[in-house]
Amino acid sequence: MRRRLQRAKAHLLMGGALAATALLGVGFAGCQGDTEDGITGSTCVSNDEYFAVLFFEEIKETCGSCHISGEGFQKSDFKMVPPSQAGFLDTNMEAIKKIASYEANGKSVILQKPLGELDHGGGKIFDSEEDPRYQKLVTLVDRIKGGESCPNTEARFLAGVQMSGPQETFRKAALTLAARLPTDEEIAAVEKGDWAAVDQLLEQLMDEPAFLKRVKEKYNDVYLTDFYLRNEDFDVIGGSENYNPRWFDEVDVSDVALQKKYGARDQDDLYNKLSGWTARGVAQQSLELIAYTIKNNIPFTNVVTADYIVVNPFSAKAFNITDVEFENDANPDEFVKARLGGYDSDFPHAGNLTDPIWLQRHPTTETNRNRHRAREILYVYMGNDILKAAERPIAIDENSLADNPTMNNDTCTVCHYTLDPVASVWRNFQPTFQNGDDAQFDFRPDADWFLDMFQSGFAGQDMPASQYDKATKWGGQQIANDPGFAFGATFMAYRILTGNEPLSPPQKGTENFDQDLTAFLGQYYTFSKIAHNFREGGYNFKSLMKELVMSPYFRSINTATNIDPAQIDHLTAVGSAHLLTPEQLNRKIENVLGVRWTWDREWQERPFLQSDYKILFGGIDSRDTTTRITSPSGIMSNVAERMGLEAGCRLVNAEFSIPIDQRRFLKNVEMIDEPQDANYRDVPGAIEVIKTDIQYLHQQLLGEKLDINDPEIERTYQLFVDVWKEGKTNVLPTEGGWGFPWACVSERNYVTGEWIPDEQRIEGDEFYTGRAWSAVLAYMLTDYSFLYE
Amino acid sequence: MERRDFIKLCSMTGLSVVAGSTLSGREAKAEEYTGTFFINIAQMGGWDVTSICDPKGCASQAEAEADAPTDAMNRYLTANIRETAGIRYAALSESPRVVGDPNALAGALAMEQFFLDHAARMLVINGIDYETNSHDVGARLSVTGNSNENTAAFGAVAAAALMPTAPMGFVGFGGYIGTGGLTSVTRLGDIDVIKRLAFPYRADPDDPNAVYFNDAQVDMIAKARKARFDAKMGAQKLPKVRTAMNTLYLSRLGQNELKRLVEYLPQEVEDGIAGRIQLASAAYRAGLAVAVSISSDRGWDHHGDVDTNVANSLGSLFNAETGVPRGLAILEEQGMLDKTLLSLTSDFGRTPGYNDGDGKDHWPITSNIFLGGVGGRPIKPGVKGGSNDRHESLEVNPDTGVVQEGSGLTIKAGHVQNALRRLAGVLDSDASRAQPTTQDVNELANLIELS
Repeated sequence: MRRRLQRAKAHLLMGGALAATALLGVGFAGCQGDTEDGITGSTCVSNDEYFAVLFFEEIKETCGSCHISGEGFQKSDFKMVPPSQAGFLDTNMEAIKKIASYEANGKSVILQKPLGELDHGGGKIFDSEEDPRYQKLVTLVDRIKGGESCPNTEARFLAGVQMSGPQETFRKAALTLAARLPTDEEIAAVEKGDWAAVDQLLEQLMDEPAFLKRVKEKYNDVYLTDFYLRNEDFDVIGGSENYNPRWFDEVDVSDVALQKKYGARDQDDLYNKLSGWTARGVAQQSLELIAYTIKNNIPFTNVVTADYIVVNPFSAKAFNITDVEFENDANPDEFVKARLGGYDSDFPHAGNLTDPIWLQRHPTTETNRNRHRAREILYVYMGNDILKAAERPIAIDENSLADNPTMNNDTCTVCHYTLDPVASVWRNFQPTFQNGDDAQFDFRPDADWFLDMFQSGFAGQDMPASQYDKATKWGGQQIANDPGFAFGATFMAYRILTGNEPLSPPQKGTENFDQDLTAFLGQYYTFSKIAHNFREGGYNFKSLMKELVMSPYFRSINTATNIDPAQIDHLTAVGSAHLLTPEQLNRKIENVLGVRWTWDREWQERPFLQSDYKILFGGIDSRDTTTRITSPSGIMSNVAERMGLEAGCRLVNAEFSIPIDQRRFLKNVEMIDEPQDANYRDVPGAIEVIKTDIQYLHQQLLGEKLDINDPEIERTYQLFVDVWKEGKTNVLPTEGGWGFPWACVSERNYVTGEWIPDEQRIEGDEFYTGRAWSAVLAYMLTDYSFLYE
Repeated sequence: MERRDFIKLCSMTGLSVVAGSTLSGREAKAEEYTGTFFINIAQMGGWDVTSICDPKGCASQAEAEADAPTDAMNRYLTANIRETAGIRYAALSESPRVVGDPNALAGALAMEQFFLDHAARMLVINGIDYETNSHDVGARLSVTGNSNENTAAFGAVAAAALMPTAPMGFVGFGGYIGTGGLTSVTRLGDIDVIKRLAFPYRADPDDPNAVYFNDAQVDMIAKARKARFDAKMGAQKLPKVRTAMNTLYLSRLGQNELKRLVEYLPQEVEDGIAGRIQLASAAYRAGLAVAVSISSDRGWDHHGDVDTNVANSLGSLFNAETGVPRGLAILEEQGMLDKTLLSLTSDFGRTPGYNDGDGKDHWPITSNIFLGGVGGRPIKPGVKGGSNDRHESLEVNPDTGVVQEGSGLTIKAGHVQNALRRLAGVLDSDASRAQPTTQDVNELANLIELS
């Protein structure tokens, strides 16, 4: 439906330095079908936005060399944080508000110091009050004192964006989060309940295993603890007397009763199962704690504060944990709470900060001193990419090394001031590396910390000496309490949902700075709002994800047709368009199509996208290849090509191998339905059922609800006819009844799982319709709308 | 959309796209690339340059002892620094900690052997100031010449400029492989798998008759796909979605050319760096690849016991069976050495002297090593740039890059990248202009020269 069209002119309230957001007041609306209203513009500039633009234009450069880092930073009472730190605009605005409220002689301190008054360490920054840059500072202080009259809104940044409606949003969320299509019941519920129903269904969606798998995959992209999944290196964890990773070596695997209990075919299979399930429990302990926290609606801060780990029945044996109970002690997917050393142990559990395998995967050294661990935790849980704080060029000479540079040299302290105190959180897990003491997982309650580092603490707060013997617990709580935690979770949730990285703050002087800044601010304020709600709402991860689903950064699907082209430049961050990872694509094939893309035709082997093509399709192995490729190359597009051909042909064969009332997609057509007769005259009845099923395939596979006469339906139908004609004319006469390729032939009913008798299997294709349908499926399964979400 | 606008758009959205003439909408058919093949091997983690090609040594035997004071640059005598064909390299095999560790000693000796074998045709650039001690920035800067995010590695610039339609112009086995939206990155792996992907329409890649669809039918699918793409692109305005749709569509152009790769694949892929060079060179010889980025197998972030650890890393990098020497041998066997330019880089260097753990920390001054040639002409061997006895950059002649105190100019990563781009003939390309380095292209114009 087309609802309204509105155009508003921008009335900028800011000066030339703030021109970056000049076009943001223009707004448009207009929509079709399930599309919601477009976002209309707003000309009202909030105090936050005024500050943000001023920060990038002036404050960061002019004041940052002392008040963000650098000489004088440690002594200054006015401290801001660098843009590498999530939520930096909120944090810095608070710092500005605080300093602006201090007055001397009836005038704000912040307006006096830059003029060289009040003993400003940085001296005189502005020659006079007439300096336009100074005037902007005056305006900022006036605005702060005057209070907020104009809250941040998406309308300031996203004018002209069209967003999906309830049905389309839920379909996209179901595919993205649970790798499946909405059920008929869900579609009916959304039809009836609109957005309220979507909200409820999203909640249920996130209880499904596929969602938690996706969450775990994304966290593993950083943790890389799946490194230990497929090998036996998980026995390397050193330091725990109770750790017995190879407990299964003592099991009598020839015991038939045990083989039966664990569903093993024989003793080798039993051994492999026990070994593999132990590896799964140990390697994925951190990831499972995240899943456990989300699944049970525990405040997400639990992942850094939990006074327990989670174990499955097999990792429990590896950790010699006996005081836990399982509903089914043969189920490797059942994870329960446990404490290392037993219920009463004094081990300082702090969620994933003390996970043995994570500590092992990210080992400390004599000189690294847990900095690597600190960096990763800051990135994952605080959204703070510490190395980005050190992006400006440095000048260094050997004098820089004098007097302990990580504490005293600006080029080093820019990172180490934040990083080193956090590293001390693992002070009880720092081996001495003397006399063979190099165990990464050995709890040392009495360990000293290094005097030549910034001391134990977090975000400017010292760690009390009483906490030294349980530093991880204290550190986990500090992380949980910090506003950055909500940003960190928001960033990770955004990565999980869209596969995209949050925008980095733009750098002044780059070619597209203006557009980049407006795009960044739009996303920043959306994330800031969501992070705030997450914190205020008790850190419920599912609620956080729902808010992201409802945001323009997931729901944007296009712009108004008559949008000003200049406005489009500001919309570079909206919408989600990412190539599915091999894991996601595999789940989509299996859940949406119902077939498996494997080597064997029983579909029992590991899926291609989990084996042969995993790395080539941009995936990682958590070992040597640890960075995903997200933009398709020629090789990657050929992986998709082969998938479309093979999975498509399997699906067509599977469909035609079962009764029409059991089918998922080809609900009207049979293999005998040819579009033309022997004289190439149209057969209306056949054409109708063919087009009806094509229409349904477009809806199910590509998310397109099209009229039967839509050009897209006609294009797909024409492909069917062309391929069929070519096959009838030039393939069938020479192939000798070869029919479907061997690997495509179904041996089981893919809906019920029952064996298909030999005589009922579809091997031939005498009308060439089977392969014409396969071509249609190959065309659709390799389409942008199937391969991307 | 104009090509430049498209590149700009892609850069803004942070998404990559296959670049070149395809950007102007032509249905380009990939040509065979026969120009220079560029290989970069990145020693990630901060390779200690003094352990290889900018050694300083120490003045006395007392300083060389394992427990000597920590301000010595190295644990071997300056007088014992090796030199072959004018290239000086470390006497790491004399460091007491290395001597006492058989594996480390073997690694140090492997490095020395590499210089003995190849120094005569090697260009070393010392004293390069990366102006960073951040791993991420250094890894990026070392191959882009620009510290900004989303900048393009040299391999991406070269691939986009020299063969924009190549389906695998830039092969990535690690290291910084950002493309800045100019092209995409390709991974290669198991030979049988590559065959299947080179012939996706064959059920059996070795049997040309076992096809899912014949050529006419394949064309029908492609035609329908193109018509749908045009319709969808015409209706879509969100930059991120448009870029993604374009990227997918363009990645398919030239996919048939992958078949040529199969003709050049080896029977078996060797291990380590050598195997990666082997696969990438097959792609090059098939006319499909322009550049490859390879990351060394071992980390170089040796904050502790640096001599032993570096020597172990060197043992992997210069392993005669699996490392760079074997890779060069493969290229020589294939007659490719003079048209292959191989570079060894790091994300930065390491501090002068040792820390309390006998390690070395982050330091922005580093070195690059180049071997091979361009367009059939070998590079001019020797040493450019330099550092003082505490690894601070020395000033250089603004034209040649030879040390010249008082010039006011030190070598930066951008200079090296500009020189590479100039040698490759891409300095004036759209791709290069879209992804500028941070240095003036007119400075150090002869930093890397041909013989």
